[in-house]
Amino acid sequence: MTTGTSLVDADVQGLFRTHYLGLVRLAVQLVDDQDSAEDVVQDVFAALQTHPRCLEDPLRYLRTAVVNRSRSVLRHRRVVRRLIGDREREVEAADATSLRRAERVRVLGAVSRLPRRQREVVVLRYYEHLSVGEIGVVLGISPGAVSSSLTRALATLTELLEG
Amino acid sequence: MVEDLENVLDRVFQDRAAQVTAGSLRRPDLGGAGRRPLTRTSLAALSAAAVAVIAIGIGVAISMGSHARIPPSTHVRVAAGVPSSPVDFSGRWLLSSVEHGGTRLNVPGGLGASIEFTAPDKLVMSDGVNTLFGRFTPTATGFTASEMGATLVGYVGSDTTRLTVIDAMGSLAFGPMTNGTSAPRVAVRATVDVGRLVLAVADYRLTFDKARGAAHATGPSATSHPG
Repeated sequence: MTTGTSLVDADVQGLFRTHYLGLVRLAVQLVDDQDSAEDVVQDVFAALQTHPRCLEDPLRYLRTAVVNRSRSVLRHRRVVRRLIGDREREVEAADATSLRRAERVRVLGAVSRLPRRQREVVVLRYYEHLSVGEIGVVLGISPGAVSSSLTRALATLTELLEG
Repeated sequence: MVEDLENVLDRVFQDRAAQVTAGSLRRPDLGGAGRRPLTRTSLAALSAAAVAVIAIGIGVAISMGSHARIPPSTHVRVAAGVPSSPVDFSGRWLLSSVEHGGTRLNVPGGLGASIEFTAPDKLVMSDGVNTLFGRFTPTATGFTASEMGATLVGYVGSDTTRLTVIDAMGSLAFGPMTNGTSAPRVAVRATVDVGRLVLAVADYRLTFDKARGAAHATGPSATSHPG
C-alpha cells in the first residue's frame, strides 16, 4: 500500500487479515458483546471498501472508526433499551460464579458505568496501552482532555469498586 | 491503589480479549457472510425503528402546523396546564456552534443539525444523521425533554464536527450517557437573544440560529420575545 493513495480492495483485504481480530477485541471492550463487536468492525471495513480513502496511518484510522462505530451501537442500544428493556446484563451478572469471573463482571460493570468518553480513554489506555498523546489523536481531543478524563475515570472506578 | 486498579484493568481487559479467538469469530471473512440472523433482540430493534419512523411521520405532520392537516387518527394533546417559560424558543432553529470542554466548534449549515419546537409539546431534532423526537415541557429556565426516541442510522465515519454534533444533540435528547442508559427527563437551560437560541445541557452549550422562513408554530411560551 502506498501512502497518500487511495486504498484498493487488496489493501483493504490485507488490513482486514492483519487487524480484524485485534479490532474485534478492542470493540468488545467498548460494546460488551462479541457479536456486536464483530458487526462494528465489519461495518468499518465495509465502509472502507465502499469509500476508499487515503490513509497515512491505517491502524490509527481503524481504531478511531471502531471507537466511533461503537458509540453508534451504544446509542442505538440505549434507544432500544428504553423501548424494550434489557435483560442481558442481568443474565451475565447472575452467571458470575467463579471468583475470577466475579471480579471481571464487577470491574467491567464499573467500566460500563463510566461516561462514554472516560470509558473510551480507559480502554485505549489499559487495553491498547496507548500513550495520552496517541489516545488524543484517536479520539480527536487534546492530551489535557485525555488526562483529565483518565483521572476522573480512575477516581470513579475506585469509588465504584470500593463502594 | 491506582497502580493496583491499573493492573486490574489491564488483566480484566486482556482476559476478556483472550476470549475472542480466531476460532470464536462468527464473521471471520470480510463481507456480509455470517451476519447474525434476526434474533428476538434484533427484531425488537427493528420494531423500535419502525415505531420511530412512524413517530417521525407523526412529528413531521405536526411540525407542518397549519400547512398540513393532521390525520384524524393522530391524537394531539391539549396544552392546558403546561407551565410557560420566560423564553420563547418556539419554531425551528439551526445549529451553528457547539461548545464543549472550553472549545468552540462552528457547525456548517450544510450538516443539517436543527431543533424544532411545535405546539403543544412536540420536539423534533436532527443531528444530521438521525432524527430525535419526543416531548418538551417548558420550565422557568428552559425546558425538559422527555419520552425521546430516535431513528437508528449508524454513522461510520471520523468527521470530528459531525461526531461532536451527534454527541451534543444526543445529550439534549437523552442526557449525558451514564451506565449505558439515558435519563427519563433531561433538563435543558435555554436563553434566546435576537434570533439566537442557546441551549445548555451537561457540559455542552449549543447555539442555534433561527431558521429563515420557517413556519412559526404556536410556541410554548406565554411571552413573545423576538425569536
